[in-house]
This record gives sequence, C-alpha cells and structure tokens, in this order.
Amino acid sequence: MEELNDDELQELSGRGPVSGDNTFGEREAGDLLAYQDLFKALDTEPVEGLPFSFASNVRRKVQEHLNRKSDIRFNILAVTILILSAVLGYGLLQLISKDTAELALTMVLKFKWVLLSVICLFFCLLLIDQRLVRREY
Amino acid sequence: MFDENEIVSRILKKDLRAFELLVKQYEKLVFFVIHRLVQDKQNKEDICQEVFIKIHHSLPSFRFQSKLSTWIARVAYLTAINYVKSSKNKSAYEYPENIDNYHFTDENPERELIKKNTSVYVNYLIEQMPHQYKTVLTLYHLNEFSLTEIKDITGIPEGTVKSYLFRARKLLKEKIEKDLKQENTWKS
Repeated sequence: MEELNDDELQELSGRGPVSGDNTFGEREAGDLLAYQDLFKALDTEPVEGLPFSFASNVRRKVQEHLNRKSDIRFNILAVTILILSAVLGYGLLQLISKDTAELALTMVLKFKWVLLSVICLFFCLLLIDQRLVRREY
Repeated sequence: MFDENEIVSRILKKDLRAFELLVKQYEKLVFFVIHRLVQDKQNKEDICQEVFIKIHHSLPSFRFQSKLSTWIARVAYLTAINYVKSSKNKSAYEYPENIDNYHFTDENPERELIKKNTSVYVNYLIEQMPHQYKTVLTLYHLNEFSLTEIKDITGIPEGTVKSYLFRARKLLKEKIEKDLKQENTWKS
C-alpha cells in the first residue's frame, strides 16, 4: 500500500472533503481523513491575539519616533544658527568698527562661563520640554 | 476595500492614519508568524510592534515587485528569526543538524492534558518543531501563501519548502494517529 504523496496532499488541501471519493483504497482513505482533521487544526487561528488597541499603539510609537527625529534636527539647526549668528555678528562688527569688535570679543571672553551657562540652560530646558511634554496625537 | 498602492503612497506622504490602517490590515499576518516562531510569550507584542516600525521605516524602499503582504511577511519572518537566533540558548527544544532526522520525543504527562483538543494539541506539537517546519506550516496554512510566495518570504528554495511542508504534516499526522491509537488502547 502506498502512502499519499505530496501532490495528493496538496490537492487534498485545496479540494477539501473527499467523502465518497473512490480513487483511494481503504488505508489511503483513512490517511485522507486523518490529514483532513490535521488540516482543519492547522487552519485554526490561535486563540491568543494582539490587543484591540495594537494599531493605535504602533501609530503612537511611530509618531514618537518621528517627533524625536524632528526634535534632534531642530536642536542641531538651533546650535548651527547660534554659532553662525555669533560669527556673522563678529564679522560685521569687524567691518563697521574694529575697536567695537575687539571690545565685544573681550566681553564675550570675560563672561564666557556666564554665556556658556545661559546657552546650556537654554538647551537643557529645550530638551526637558521635548522629553517631558506629551503631545496630543 | 483596501487599496495597497493608495495606502502606501499616503504613508509615504507622512499620513499616519493610513499607516494605522495598514497595521490593522496586516496585524494578524504578522502575529501568526511571530506567534509560531517566538516562544517567549511576554515579548510577542513588542516584536510585532518592532516589525511594523521596521515596515514604516523601510516602506520608501518597497518597489511593488511583490505583493505587499509577501513583503510584510518577509520582514516579520526575518525579525522573528533574528530574535530566535539571539535567544537560541534559551530554547526548550533541541534539534538534529539535519532537520530531516527530526522526530517528536516520547510522551510526557503534560501532553495528555492537551490531547483532548486536537487543535491545541497540534499547536503544542508544532511549538516543538524546528523553525523551518513551523514557518512553512504557518505561512501555508494560516496565512494562506502559495509555495512560490513562501520561497520569496523565506528564501528557501520552492522544492525544499514543498518537502518541509510534506514532512511536517506527515510527522504531525503520524504523531496524532499514534497518540490516538494509544489512547483508545488504554480506554478499552
């Protein structure tokens, strides 16, 4: 007696029930019934599943990820603008009056720690704001 | 009606509502793959989330050379395989190097409880199988992919997919038949 081959199984899985099928012998018919039961079990979806809110949770995660990316881009842009403005301001002052430019540079160097602290404080507040404030989606 | 071309182009225009629709449409497909391949019950939802975040990230590179469902299933499959490989040492089951030599192990009392429900018992048996068998059974029976699509998803040649499917079903059928015969003998 031969076992069911792969093509016969594929045909069975596509065709469904075979009651009254005379193509196979008694043993093969038994095999077919066993396979039909197995296919039914294999086609049964798992009892567990994802929570109902899964899609909106994923959307929120993606939104958070996008926000984080745009925050980083904004912060880099802010630092760049700040540095460029300082350089541009100093350059313009050099063109208008060299003495004033030197005075400004001396003042900046004199109060460098105060200025650095103010800039750091500004960026810290910006980061805290970006991290702590939950946005409405 | 779900139009994948329209949804994809809306997502590419940063429409997150469209992305939510895509997640709703394919969450079952992704869950079936992750559920079968990943043993760790706690992390299944997180891994499904990771799959969809990867999909959102990689969607600009999707060129419609295959069906969207096939591409999503591939992302899910690869994510699950990476997870399984990274937690390989935690696996409860051991497999021979050549999975053609794989057979179910002997009885244990836990199995007797599950046997009462064929579907639960089949899932219990599948859980013990090598991931290649789990994958083809899930993609073919639960997700209803064709053999060619399974080849595209897993990268396993079509002939091998066919033989894995045949062997996995044969193993399950023989195991269930044997167990039922034993049960009937004990009853009589």
